[in-house]
Parts: sequence; C-alpha cells; structure tokens
Amino acid sequence: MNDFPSQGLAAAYVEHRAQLLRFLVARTGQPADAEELLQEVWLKIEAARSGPIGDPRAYLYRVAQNLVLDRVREVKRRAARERDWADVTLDQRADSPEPATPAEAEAALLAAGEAQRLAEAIAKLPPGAGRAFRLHKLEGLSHAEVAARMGISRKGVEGHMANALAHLRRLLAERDIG
Amino acid sequence: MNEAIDAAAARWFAGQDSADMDWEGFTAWLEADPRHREAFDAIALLDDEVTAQRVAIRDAVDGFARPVAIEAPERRWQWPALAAGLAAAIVAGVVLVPARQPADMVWQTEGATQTIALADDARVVLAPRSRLVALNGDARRLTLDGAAYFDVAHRPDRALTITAGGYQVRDIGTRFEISSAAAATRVAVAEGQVAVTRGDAQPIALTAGRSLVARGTDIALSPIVADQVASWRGGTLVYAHMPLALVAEDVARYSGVGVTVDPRIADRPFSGALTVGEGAALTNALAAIPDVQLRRDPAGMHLEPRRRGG
Repeated sequence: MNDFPSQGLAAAYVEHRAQLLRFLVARTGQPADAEELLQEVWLKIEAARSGPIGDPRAYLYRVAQNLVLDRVREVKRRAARERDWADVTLDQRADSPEPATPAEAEAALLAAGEAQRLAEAIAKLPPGAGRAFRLHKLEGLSHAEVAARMGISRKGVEGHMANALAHLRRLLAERDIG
Repeated sequence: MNEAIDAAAARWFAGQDSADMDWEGFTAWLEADPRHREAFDAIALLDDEVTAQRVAIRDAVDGFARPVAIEAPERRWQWPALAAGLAAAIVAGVVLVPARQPADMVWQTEGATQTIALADDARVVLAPRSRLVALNGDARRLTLDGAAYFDVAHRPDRALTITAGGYQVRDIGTRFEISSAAAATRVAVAEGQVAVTRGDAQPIALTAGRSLVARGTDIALSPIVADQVASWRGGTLVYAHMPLALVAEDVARYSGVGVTVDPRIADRPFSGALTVGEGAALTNALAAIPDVQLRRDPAGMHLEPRRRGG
C-alpha cells in the first residue's frame, strides 16, 4: 500500500530538479539561496500527504514560487523593522509556564492605515479590472467563479487581474507597499 | 519604475495558476533582466498584502467602520512666504512639516459598542462613549479614551501599542481589556500577555488571569477570571474590591447615567455584579452598598456616605 501519494511528486522532483534550480536562481538572483530553497521544496513534498496531483511539475514550481515569496516577505519585514519603534515585545508561547522574556520584535505591516490606502487604490481601478480584482481578492472567488459571474473566459479574468495589479503597482509605488 | 516591465510582471503573476503557465518562458523572462525579478517581487508582495488585509480592505471599501478621518493641515515650502512664516512659526512653537502627514483614523462611539477589524486577525470592541485613534493611520499605535476589548491573534512579528491615560500597553497577540478614565487606568488580560509601562518606567508584565489598576504611580494587581474580562460586552459589570470611583465611571460609560462619588468613599472597595441597561436594577445594586447612600437629582446619581441616624 503506497503511503506516499507524493511518490509521483518525488519522481517529478528528480526529473525536473535541474529546471527547478535554474528557475530558483533566476527568481532569486542568488545561487546559494536557490540551492537552499530547492532543498526546502524537497522537504515540503516529502512531508506532504495530499491527494493525487494532476500536474506534478506545475505543483513543484508553485511550491518553489511560494517559498520564494516567503523569503521576499521576510526581507521586507526586516527592512520595516529597521525604521520601526518596536524594541520590546513579549514572546508568548501557550505551552510555556514561566513569564516570557522580552525579545526584539519584528514588526509586520499590520495597519488599518495600509488597508485604507489599498482600498482607495482599488477604488480607482478601471471598471472591469476592478470588479474582477474585488471578486477574486476581496470576496475570495476563484478565477473560474469570477469568469462565470462576469460572463467572461478564464483568460479574460487573468487579463483583468494583470491589469489591476499593474494599475495598483503604479498607484501605490510612492508608498512602497508592494 | 518601468511600466512595461510591471505590466509583464503582472501578466506572469496573474497566469501562474493556469494550466498553460509557461514556467520555462517565465524563467527565461526572469533571466533576461534583473529588473524583471524585482518587478515580480513587488507585484507578488502587493498581492500578498491585499490577501493579508482582505477583511480590513473590504470593510474600508464598504465603509463599514465609517472612520472619521482627520486631515492634518497641508504645509508647503514656499520661499516668498517662508521667511515671515518661519519667524511666526518659531514664535508659535510650531514645527514646519514639508510633507503632508497621513491622516489619523478615529473611531468614536456613543451609546452602543462598535466592533472594529484592524486586520484579518485583529479585532477591537470599542465600549460606549469611547474613542480609539490610530495615529497617522498606523494601527500598531493606538490611543484609547474610554474602554475597549482587544482580540488580537498571536503573531510574533507584530506588536501593538495602545496608549491610554498616560500608560502604554504593549502586546503581540492576546485577549485583553483596557479601560481608561480620570480616576484610573485598568488593564485586564484574559489570554496571553501584555506589558504595561508609563514613560520610561520598567514595564510590568501582565499575564492571563491578572488585572492591573493604575492611578498615577500607584499600581494594584489582582487576579481576574478570564470570562469576566470586558464583561460589559455582555451587559454586566463584575467587580472584586474595585474602588467605588472606578465603578462609578464604568456605570456612567455603559449606562449613560452620570454617577458621582463623594471623595470620602471614592476608595471604598466594591464587590458584586451590576447589570447595565436596566435602570432600576442598577440603582438598587448601587443603593445596596453598605454605608453608602444613593441620591438622585436631575444631574444623575450621587453616591455619598450614609448619614447616621437617617
């Protein structure tokens, strides 16, 4: 009995390893980081207990892409911390009986002010792009569901999303949110 | 910023989940120019931010929280006016700001509570007749007048500071209440831990099941049952040895009825439960305090020492 539905994934990893590495180098611009991330991809799929995956190669790329995003997000937060005030925080763990020791806080971008600025920018999007963006990102509909709701193709939805993101990037550039 | 590159990055990003995503083509595009990966990072982070703030953005788009935005006056550097303006400004003690400050976000309640979503996983229930301000729109730095119950998910990378009545409460994810009024500032923790400090003083760590009453430099700690933190959300006020002056302030806030307390009994400890919103029950509970007399007049209720032989 095969306990590893990811056996297909493991085989795909071996088959596409070189390509994945090349992708990670191109994506991060750092060969050393790319090697590390490739290891993390392996660890992730080894631990995975998912159902059958239709396109293992695409799945692997998506895992790699998400891991890169995690790193990029972390770099951004560290940069935000440099200019932030948080110097004392409490490292509270539910399973620790004694009071926590202060540790240096890494301040993330929790800000109702940020949400307000994002909302204002989203309000300025062109009608089609704006509607698709709100349905997908704020209401949580899939691309397919948005396509059905708007009476357009999935490719049409992708086009709207691309358009929306490009517009938002331009509108928010000076705030350096993205 | 190159719009063509951003547009391409946005197209690659939007298509990454489709069945026909060309990963090799995407790799080649990334390899073609280092600016491509930077642009893609920016788009990916922007999308990530929208996801993280989804609830708050949706609320803002719907106008749910109906914040009252206070605009700071815009000041510009203008040479002809500068000399005269500068002299006047120095005299007035005003600091010239070359750029416009982001607006404060203000929530103000009247007779009802208001629930505010600061983020997907951070919620504040603002008590009646209270005011919460996010300075320059930054929800990590809040100022509170009145009372509020905070329910903030634990995230080690996020810290909140709430300034209330001259004290700062720092937290990274807990359930707690802060109540600030003239007589005292109170902090009670239902879950997690906060640090309470005043100015540069050594912070006091307040853990779950503990509450703190601070008046000036006088600080009293006592236990509290987690369920009773911010019991006003359910319409009852529960006290164990709480100075009458503070009880009176709570009654005023939650019932809208003014209550004054004679200074001679302001520190008298009160224990019991008061139901808010039922006038007679509230009055009866207050009148039943031993050695305390309840007097009513058009201004409200007054708690005074009971006269002997009355």
